[in-house]
Amino acid sequence: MTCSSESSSADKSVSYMPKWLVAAAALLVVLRIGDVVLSKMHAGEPAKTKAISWSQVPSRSELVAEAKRLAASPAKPVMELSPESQKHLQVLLADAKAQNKLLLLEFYADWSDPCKKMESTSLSNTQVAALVAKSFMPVRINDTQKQFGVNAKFVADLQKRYRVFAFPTLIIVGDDESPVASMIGNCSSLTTYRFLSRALSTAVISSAPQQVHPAPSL
Amino acid sequence: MNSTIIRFTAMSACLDPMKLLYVILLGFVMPIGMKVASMLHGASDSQTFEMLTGKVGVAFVLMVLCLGLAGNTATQSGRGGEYLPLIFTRPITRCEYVLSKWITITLIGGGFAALQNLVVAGIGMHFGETITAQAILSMVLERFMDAALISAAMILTMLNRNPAFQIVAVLSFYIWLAGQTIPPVSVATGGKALEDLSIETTKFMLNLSQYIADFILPTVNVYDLISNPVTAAGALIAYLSALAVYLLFAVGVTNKREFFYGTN
Amino acid sequence: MSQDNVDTICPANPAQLAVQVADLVKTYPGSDVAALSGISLSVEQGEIFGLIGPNGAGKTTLIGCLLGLLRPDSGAVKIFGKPADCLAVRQVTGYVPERSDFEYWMTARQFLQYHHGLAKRDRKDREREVTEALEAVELAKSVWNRRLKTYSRGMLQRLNIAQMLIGKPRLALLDEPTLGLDPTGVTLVRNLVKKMQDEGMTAIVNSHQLDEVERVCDRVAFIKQGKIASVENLHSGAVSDYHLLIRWPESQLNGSLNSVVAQAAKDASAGVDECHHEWGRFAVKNNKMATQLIRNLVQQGLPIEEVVPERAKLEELFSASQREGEGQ
Repeated sequence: MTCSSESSSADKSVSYMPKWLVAAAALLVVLRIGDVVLSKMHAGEPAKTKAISWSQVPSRSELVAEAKRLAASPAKPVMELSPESQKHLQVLLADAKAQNKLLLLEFYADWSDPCKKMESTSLSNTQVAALVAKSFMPVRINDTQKQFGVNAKFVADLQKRYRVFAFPTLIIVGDDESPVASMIGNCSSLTTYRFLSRALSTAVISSAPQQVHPAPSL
Repeated sequence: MNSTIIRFTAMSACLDPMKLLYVILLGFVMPIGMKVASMLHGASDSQTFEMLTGKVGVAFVLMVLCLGLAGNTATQSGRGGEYLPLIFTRPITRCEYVLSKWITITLIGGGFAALQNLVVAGIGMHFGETITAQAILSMVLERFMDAALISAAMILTMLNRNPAFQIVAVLSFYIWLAGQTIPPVSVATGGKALEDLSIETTKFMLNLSQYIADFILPTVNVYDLISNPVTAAGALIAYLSALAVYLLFAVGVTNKREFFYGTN
Repeated sequence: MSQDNVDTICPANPAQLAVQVADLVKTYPGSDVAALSGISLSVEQGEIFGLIGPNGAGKTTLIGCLLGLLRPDSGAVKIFGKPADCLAVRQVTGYVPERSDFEYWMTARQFLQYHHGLAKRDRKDREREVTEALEAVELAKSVWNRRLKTYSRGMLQRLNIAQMLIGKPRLALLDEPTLGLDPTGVTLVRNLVKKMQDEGMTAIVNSHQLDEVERVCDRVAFIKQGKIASVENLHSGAVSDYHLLIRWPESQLNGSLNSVVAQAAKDASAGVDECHHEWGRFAVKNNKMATQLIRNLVQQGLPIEEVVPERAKLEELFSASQREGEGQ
């Protein structure tokens, strides 16, 4: 066999770094940085799809007004519901009872990615939406701490009462204002459905005179 | 890239009885047991179960597979890994070595995890759960993607002998693990008053874990990716960029590394 | 890839130096003493070159640099004319590490198959070459398919040697190859190395077994404190020169003893150190000269009773070199 002249593969070093790897990594990092910058710019926008019609507490205009007011005169922190908040909660509970449904609170934040994701996945699931429509009164408690620096009093009180520290948190409230069940985080549709239906059956057993229809099995 | 490495890593994973036992116990027996129990009691799947059949399960399987990888420089006898000083005297580029190892570990680890997911889904279906074919495909794909990223991170940690780096890496891993006990959430920003210490600590831990997860182990929800590609593009870019950076650094670190193996 | 590369660097040119090291300097990070402070040497093709020296002298560091496992701070290493970390060079290099970690679940056969594949040798020849290597290191057939967990130290070392053989190297670096071997094993290694030399392989041997080094190597370098103290040629020079102590009883040559002895030595080109009534001490360069000297003396009528060689063995040179250093 004749000696071949220097072939490039023969002279390759053991510490050879392939160019394609370097290029791919550089490109992807640049794209990532771009993506992060873009999402920071779009941070405050609300979620796009709404499969369940939450009645918003407080509504957007109320939010802005109260936030401004509170910013001017900050309230003292309390652990229990203040009388006004308690009254408000009682009103909601009465509403739910009148409709023969359970009160479902979602502690929500506009800026929260998991919240938006849950909105577009689990909460858009047809079965979940149907169950909520049938047996729950959905109320969304909007956290505005991040955007405006304060929360509406009712929101802050409820968060403290139910020890909410993360969004999204779903809490089903019983007659005596205690939490019957809670679910933290962006859970799958199946888990959400199970959570809701289990709470429903517990409520059926515990409240005899009120007839709340049990959920169909998934 | 190098078939010998690929073949022998695969052999190492499958023929070593200790590794197999560990994988079977943690990867199969436990989650299957948990699934059957939850089906029989009509309860929804616990978070622990989600963890074991999700990223955390993958991470555990991969840890076992990666254990033999790093190769010691200062050797002590015992269940040694590959003796890197000897391997690297062969005509193999360090890049080939790292990438071949990575691919094999990803495929095997991902394969185990995907299999486990399939078995568990099968049990669910047997007990009457409905689950679509698309969901199953997403699950399987997601396990492989998890495996790819986590194994790249582990390989980098094992090959980079810088002790500071290793401490940070392991610490981050444990914090990430702790954060996995809760589904994806946004942590509430506190009010002006300091609340309960326990809530504050939880918030802090969660925040840290989320940062770490976003930065170090970005996840891609494959189901979202398939059904809603545009919105999931950001997550995919985060994932791919992390993966590329880990592999690049793993190769770079190995290239730079010197192997001193003698007695002093 | 394999065959082409072997020919690219396994020269057409037999004058190409197998190993050429120039002013190698290497300091380990965190240490202020240089492990290597300016080593230069060259090894010709087909030569067996020994490295001896006290622990910590830098021999392992030197081997590490030759293998591309360590990067020298300055200086050049050329193996068959190419830098040490070139893939083609790795292809033709074999290495027996001082200590080796084995994957204990593997069998000997699998281990060698692994290295056969790593060395990028032809798949077709794999089974045959693995068997050949196992036979060459005289591992019992019954253990070929047993897991390495069950192997003794000596068996593992034989496997280590086999792993070097399987790559069919042109340059072999052996770091303490006889460590853990019983006397049969030691002989085996010696014979293997010699056989490979006959087939054109070059070798560098690092060993503390000075008598083995003497038997096998062509040249030996003393390395001390990161420098080469001296390079000895074992086929000529101080180590191969030795002295003969010859005794004889009272004889008829009494008067002419000195002149007879002097003449015999002169004819054999040997040197006379001392000559007494009943014994003499002579300097010879090699065995042939010794035989000639003895023959001459006998022919002259000297009734030789006893001949005792005094060798300036490597060991003596080694300790002399040590003492030299300590005296400074």
